[in-house]
Amino acid sequence: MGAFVLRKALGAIPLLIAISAICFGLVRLAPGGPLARLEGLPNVRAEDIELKKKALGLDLPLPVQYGAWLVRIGLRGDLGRSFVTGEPVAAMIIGRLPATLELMSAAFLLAIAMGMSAGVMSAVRAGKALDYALTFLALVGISLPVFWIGLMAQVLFSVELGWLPAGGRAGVTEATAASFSARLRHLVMPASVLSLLYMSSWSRYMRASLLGVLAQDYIRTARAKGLGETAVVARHGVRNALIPVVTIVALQLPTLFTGAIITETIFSWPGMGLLFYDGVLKGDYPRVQAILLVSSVLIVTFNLAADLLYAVLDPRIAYR
Amino acid sequence: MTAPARPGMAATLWRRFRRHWAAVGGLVVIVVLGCASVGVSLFVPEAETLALRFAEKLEPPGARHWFGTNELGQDVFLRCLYGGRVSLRVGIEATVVALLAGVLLGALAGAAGGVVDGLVMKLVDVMLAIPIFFVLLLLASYFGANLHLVTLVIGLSSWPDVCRLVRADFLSLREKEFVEAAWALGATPARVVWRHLLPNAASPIIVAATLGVARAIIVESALSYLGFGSQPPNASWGYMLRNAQSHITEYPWLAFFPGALIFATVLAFNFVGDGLRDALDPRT
Repeated sequence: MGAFVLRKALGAIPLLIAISAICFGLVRLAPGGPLARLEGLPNVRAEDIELKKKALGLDLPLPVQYGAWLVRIGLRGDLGRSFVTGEPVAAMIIGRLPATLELMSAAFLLAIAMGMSAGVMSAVRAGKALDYALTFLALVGISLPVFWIGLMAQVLFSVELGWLPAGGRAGVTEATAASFSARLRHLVMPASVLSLLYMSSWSRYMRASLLGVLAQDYIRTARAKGLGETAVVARHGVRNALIPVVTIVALQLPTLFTGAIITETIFSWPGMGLLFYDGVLKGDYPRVQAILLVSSVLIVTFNLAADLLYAVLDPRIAYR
Repeated sequence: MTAPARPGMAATLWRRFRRHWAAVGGLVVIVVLGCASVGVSLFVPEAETLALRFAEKLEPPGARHWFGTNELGQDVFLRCLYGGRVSLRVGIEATVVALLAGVLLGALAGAAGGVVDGLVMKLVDVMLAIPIFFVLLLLASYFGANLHLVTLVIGLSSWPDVCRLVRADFLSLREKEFVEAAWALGATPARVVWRHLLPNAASPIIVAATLGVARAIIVESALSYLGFGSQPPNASWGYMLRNAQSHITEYPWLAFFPGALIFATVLAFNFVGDGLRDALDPRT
């Protein structure tokens, strides 16, 4: 097992190098170079830009710059400083991480709970009205544009009904009952909107997987020995059906990160998605580059975790 | 499943597809929307939908303006139809790009195997590890609202799915007896790929293409909604939604209709893809 983990982790290294090169290159692709935005500003002098270029090492050959960038990240965790505020980018990201993680975990839990139950109900009632209804709903959920349903939810629940706040995050600093309720009320809409797509897609995977399992011989055996239908489905069916689903969920988890960018923009949720969007608008390339890199590394890590999880859950997979 | 070119194949396919009522409904929606957004210029020239009529601004939906008017007095229904041109065109063109790249690389990897396969799959891994939407946003911000570029980039970001499908099919197909027979008859590699491998891998490609259009439309709308996609006069549904956002509390219809059209179109393509999957699958 240890050797398996090590081999998988080592296998990810070339991938990480390729990704870091792309993150580095993408920012260098900016028309006029990464400092082009500064040149347009009225109160920035040309010689200051030259100094800044020197300070950032932009006058050195590209491979040297790339190497220096990697070394700074690897040795000191230094992701550079924001062009806009001058703050270290790493600190900015860490400051925004809790909000994004809160939104992601709420959406994730909601999607898992609803998606899995819908998938199980659909598979158990395969071919019946309930299955068709849930299939239809899942396709609707997959097709709903996040930005539209988010706006419509705001109009309905905040403007018309006045039930929920339209955006922002609140009640984070204090630990009273009132602040907790405010925090929850701010979280409900963005988390539900973000979870829709995942809920729908995971319910489809769960349905397909459970249908496959329920057709197996050991399910017939379980029924033949007189086990109740609930026990058959729960203990023999769902447990085995979950194996491939867990992998898919782990693989899709990082895309929640990408989904958060739109959700955070609509609901002014102060997370990393909003930080990235704001960085793109302002041409704050160190920030953009760092967020790209951090999210890519997260994706690779999640994929690795999915691989390992699959091997642990399914004893038929050999640790080769 | 044999080559779709065989006579009678299309009829069989249509008979099987017709059983899926939601898919047929989806097809109707796509055809109606496509015809309406292409045909609208025969009745109302685009310039007329762009003219400013402040006397009629912000009218709610009614008999005169079916979807109401916006803050410039422009008819939202007509603008939605013209916006449909942009969304459908980007969706279809981006999918063509994704198909070309995906089929080419997937076929190369699956037919050649070995080192080539390894390299292509590494490339797929890299593509899948980068948060593509972030990259799209960044590239769109570099080059401004260039619809051709947005189309190209969306297409080039969606090829890995197609590539993996084609590769997997090719890897199993190339071991089949009929392929061996073709080699034995002295067929050239190009002929084997074109006449024997590709037609047999067509079903998943067709399904992936249909679902790809839906995805591309969503991505384009999302980019436009964030301000990095289409711009007037090529206002797509996403742009209209962005524009409506500031008036959303008083004039919600401005946001409702373009979004509902994105939703309807994407749902229609997803249903058609689902129906095609069932119709093309010989086991159902």
